[in-house]
Amino acid sequence: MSDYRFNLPDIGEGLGEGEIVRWLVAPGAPVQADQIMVEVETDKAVVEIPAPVGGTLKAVGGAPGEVVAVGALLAVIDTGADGSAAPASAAPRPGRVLAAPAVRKRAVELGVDLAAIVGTGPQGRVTREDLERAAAGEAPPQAPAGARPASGRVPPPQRVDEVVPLRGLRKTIAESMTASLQVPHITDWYRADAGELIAARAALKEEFAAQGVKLTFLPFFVKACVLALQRVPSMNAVLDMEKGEITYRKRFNIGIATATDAGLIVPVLHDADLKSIFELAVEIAELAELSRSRKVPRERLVEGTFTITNFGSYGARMGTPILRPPEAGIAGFGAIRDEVVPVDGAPAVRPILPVCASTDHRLNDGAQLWAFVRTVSELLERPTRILGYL
Amino acid sequence: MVVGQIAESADFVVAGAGPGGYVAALRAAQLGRTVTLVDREGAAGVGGVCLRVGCIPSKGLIEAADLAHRTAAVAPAYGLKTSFGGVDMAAFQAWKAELVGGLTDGVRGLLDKAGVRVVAGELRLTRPDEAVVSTADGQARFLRFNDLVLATGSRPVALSGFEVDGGDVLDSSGALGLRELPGKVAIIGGGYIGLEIGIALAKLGSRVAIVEALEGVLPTMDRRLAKPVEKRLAELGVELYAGSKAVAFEAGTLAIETPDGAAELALDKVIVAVGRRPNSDDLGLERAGIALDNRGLIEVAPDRRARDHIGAIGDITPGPALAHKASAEAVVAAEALCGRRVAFQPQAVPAVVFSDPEVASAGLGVDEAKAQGIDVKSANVPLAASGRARTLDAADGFLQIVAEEGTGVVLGVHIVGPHASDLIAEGALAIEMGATLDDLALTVHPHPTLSEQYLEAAHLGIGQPIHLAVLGRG
Repeated sequence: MSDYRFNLPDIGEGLGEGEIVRWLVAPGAPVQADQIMVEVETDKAVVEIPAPVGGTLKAVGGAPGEVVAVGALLAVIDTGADGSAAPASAAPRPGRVLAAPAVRKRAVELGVDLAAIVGTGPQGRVTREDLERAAAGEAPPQAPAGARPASGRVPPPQRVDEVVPLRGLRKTIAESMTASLQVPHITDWYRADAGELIAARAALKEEFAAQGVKLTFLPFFVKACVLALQRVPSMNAVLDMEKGEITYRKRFNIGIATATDAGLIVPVLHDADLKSIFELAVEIAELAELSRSRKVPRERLVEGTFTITNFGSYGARMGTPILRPPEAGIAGFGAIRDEVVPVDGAPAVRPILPVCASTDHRLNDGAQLWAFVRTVSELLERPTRILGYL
Repeated sequence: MVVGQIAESADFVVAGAGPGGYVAALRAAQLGRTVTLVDREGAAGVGGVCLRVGCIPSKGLIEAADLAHRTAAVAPAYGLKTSFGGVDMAAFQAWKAELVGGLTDGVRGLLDKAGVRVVAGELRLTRPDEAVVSTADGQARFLRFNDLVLATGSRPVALSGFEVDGGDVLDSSGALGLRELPGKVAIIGGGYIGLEIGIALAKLGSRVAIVEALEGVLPTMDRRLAKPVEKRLAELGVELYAGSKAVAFEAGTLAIETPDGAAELALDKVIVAVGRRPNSDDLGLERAGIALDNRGLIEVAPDRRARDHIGAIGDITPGPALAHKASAEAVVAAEALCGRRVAFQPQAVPAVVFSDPEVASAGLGVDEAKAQGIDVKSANVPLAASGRARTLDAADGFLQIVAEEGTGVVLGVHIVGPHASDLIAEGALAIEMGATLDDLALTVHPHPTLSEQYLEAAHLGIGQPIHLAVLGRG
């Protein structure tokens, strides 16, 4: 037999390490070349890694939840051909899984198969920590398969707080948000009359739909932000206190904060200034789909210069957007609702779009921020004006 | 079913008050259930066969017999001027009654404190959620339950032609209740029950013969474990008829067929101990859709449930018919029926025989391991190497560790010698924890004790014995 030692490849720009999410092939099971073998989570995306050769998955370089460095051993695949002998200690154990009785009991409670866990203890013993890590990486919060409901009339179960390690996307978000605390924020708001915007979308909607594209308000928001950024370049800039430099970005790469089950990710519309409303609509739909399955390629998650958070999409109206350092600006759009507003000195009911933006106060003062917010809002109130800049 | 019969509502019912049933009742009560414990003998049945007429009384008899024997046969070697003047079996029975009474009172107290209601009668299912409990005097009550644990245990297998009559033909429980020591007695069956009683009676002064159909005593265990016991039987004057069959017992004469031809033994008593059979045949299981396998056992899931709301534990389920297995299963079954996710998943259920010398075993033997495709090595340390054993004037026996080749993970421990029944617990823990020979060798064992045999065997298994000159691998 021959062992193919497969190291974690560089799966994205600047990636140093990945966290094992789950093994789709159990140790000891056969695997075909190019069959997806394992899911590895980088700081932004979950990447599926196929087997480079066919054979038997003999050993794995990490249990779910463990971090593997690029270039470190990810898997040993026995190709069945004659060749060098395998390291005996890496072979899966025949017979029983080594684990203390209390660990085996906990595994049953968690609905976790111990045989699928690579133990870190002596002789591959599965420790309590190994089990909890595996469970945190995979176990859904609801009762796992195989659980049967009790026959009823039982006392309430003990309610024990659940503690899970901070890692993966949640950790990235936590780190990014902590970093943003270093930045003094200012935020401005505007209540834009969205009557013409609604009409503009309605006018284009069917035409886009005929080409298989669903038109939302978001491409208009992107376009309006790009035009406003071009007028207020310090909102599309980066401040470096250490070097004592301000960099004015010449690309307009607009990140779209997108909610997923695992947390927020921010896929980026690169060079949004060069794209039409139609092209933006197509790309936004594509990124939304990739985000939902957490399969956004890493290169489409980086190099943002400005961010839009469309919290109106789930009904929220107003917010105070938090910057994503080192970006200097972020705009937020709330849900459009009818409001009573004064029109020509009389109360009128108008559809109101809440617009807000935050910036790094070290880089921009209230005047620049207000110029940006007002520009975005006025462009959206008179969307035909956007035509002038296409 | 009686027409118009109204069933009482019972939340959690346990059938059988032995070491499985009473533990299940206590655990369910701890988890907040309202528990009814049904036993054929009611409160008097608490403790089951094991506590009342089995394990516990037999240990009393064995202890008494060993003391008598050591007084007569071993004490002079120590220079003690003693002699054994015979046994007053009636006095022993009085002592035994106090022992059993104290222990069963303790269990009854626990049940009482936990609020468990104890009901007398035999339980039989009438519907998936209802059972009738009938008493010997013809009373019947119906219980409608939410959950049920069946723990009805086992009874001795009857041997055709040797009907247990409480007179000259006894079963094991009857033997433990003897009020006079029989002069000559034959035990039919050389398993652990017959062996324990036979050795005890021999030490107290009976002339004992053991008739075993297979090749020797303890037929279900490795021959190497049985050999020192057979040697001891000969020293105690017990006649062993191996490969022999009991044919008939009439007018004080037992006819047997041996490999050397027919023989007759003149006897006072015959004790039948040819095994036990599950009490599963009259439970109305078909009413709940539960089937028995061809051995009369109830197949259960890992959490000991046969149905969503019915669990079964102990001797009526597959696996060794041992009290400690039933008790361990009881906790699992009760918790499963209270909605917890649990499983009965020991790596080893130790088996202990209170013979002379004692025999204890946990986990895999060499042959079993090989049959499972596991490459093993075995380290075998003779008892003679133990200083502590010498002070007990015991020399026959050994401690064997079976470990996985390469990793040294302990897979089995087998012991013959004094206190093997207590020593095996360390082996069971090692197996459960996945301990290696190194782990055992690095654990400081107290000197001078019998437990040092573990240390020496572990060193031997690693290939670095301290006290054994010859590197022997068994």
